[in-house]
Amino acid sequence: MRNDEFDKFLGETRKPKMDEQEKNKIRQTILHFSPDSQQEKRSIGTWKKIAVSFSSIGAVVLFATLLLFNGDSSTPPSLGNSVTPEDVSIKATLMVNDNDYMSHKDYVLEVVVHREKDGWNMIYPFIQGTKVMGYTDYEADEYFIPGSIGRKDVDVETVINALIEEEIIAETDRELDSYSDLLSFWTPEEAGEYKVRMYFEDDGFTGNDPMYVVYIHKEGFGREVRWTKVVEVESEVY
Amino acid sequence: MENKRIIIKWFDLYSDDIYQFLIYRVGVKDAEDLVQEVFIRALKNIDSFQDEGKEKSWLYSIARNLAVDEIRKRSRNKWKTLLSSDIGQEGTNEVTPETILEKNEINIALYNGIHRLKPTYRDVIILKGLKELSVSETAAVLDWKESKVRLTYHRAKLALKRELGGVQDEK
Repeated sequence: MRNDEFDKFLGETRKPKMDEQEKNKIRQTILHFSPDSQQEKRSIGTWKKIAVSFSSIGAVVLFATLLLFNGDSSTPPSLGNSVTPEDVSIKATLMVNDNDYMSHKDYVLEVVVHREKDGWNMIYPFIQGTKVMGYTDYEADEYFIPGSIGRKDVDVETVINALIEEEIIAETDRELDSYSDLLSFWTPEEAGEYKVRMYFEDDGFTGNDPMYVVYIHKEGFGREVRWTKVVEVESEVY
Repeated sequence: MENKRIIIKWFDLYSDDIYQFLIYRVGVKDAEDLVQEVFIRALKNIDSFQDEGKEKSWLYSIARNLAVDEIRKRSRNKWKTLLSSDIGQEGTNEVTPETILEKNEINIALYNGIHRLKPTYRDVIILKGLKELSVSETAAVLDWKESKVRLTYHRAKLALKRELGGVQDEK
């Protein structure tokens, strides 16, 4: 192939476009971005780097340094600012849907997430007897609108593992196909309290099975899963 | 809020370009996350941006720096996925080169070929070859002289042709 033909070939190569849902999510993140919280993160990141460089000199020096920074306390200060499960409180309530904008849905799940520190998250409701989770842009101002919902197999596996660990489902219930309706929503990275409403259609809901939301905390560039928190959903349906 | 409005506008205009650059530069797995990081970083630094009308080149520069950081990070963290190993990963809902390139064999071969190039060749092939930036625009993004862009692009094309073997002849 001649040089000019090769240039043409390269120029005509398919250029994939970003998923529109992902774009909406990023737009929301930009809109909710707070430089102050990032500044705080940077300074903590700098402190971490300093601590790591100290560690290369020696653990003894590091320990002495930590003690020095911590005044007269004998407990070394925490070097990390990662969110822990204790930093996140979640209240979830399932109700009969009375939102006219979502009249085709039978139930509404209201989730209130309060987080003390910044952190990426995905939240998967696990409510047997319901299907097709959805949301609407027409909510009162107090509610956060996620802009998109979705799922990743790696997350679903994490959810299943968490449910098995909590003995909510059995190891024999692990088959991924059984969880094809699982979808997640998210709340902004910034610390704070967020109220979200998700709507569900009835799929043989009895109210007898326990219902849960699984909060997945992620960190890092690749947003790796760090921990999960399973919270029981309160029911106001029956 | 004004800065956010500008960044959203740039995002609407250029996010696909940045996404395409990152797909070929770091792979499909991290491209979306890095796109977000590019625009957040742009938002944080917009007050220092002065080259009005050259925001696209600036965004490419940010994307390239982030890509370099990402590759370094992967090298350090051996447990993380290596550049080429995201091809054919399990997980049907995760994006793979096969899904985003619509199972087109030539495009997938090209994607794999580009990923086997050394980073400087990869940069110039993506920017000048795939994204069809001019020599001067490519030079601005990579902070190279224009003569270096021309020479490196020529060598990169030869290397890519070798990587593709007979595939390009099918075109």
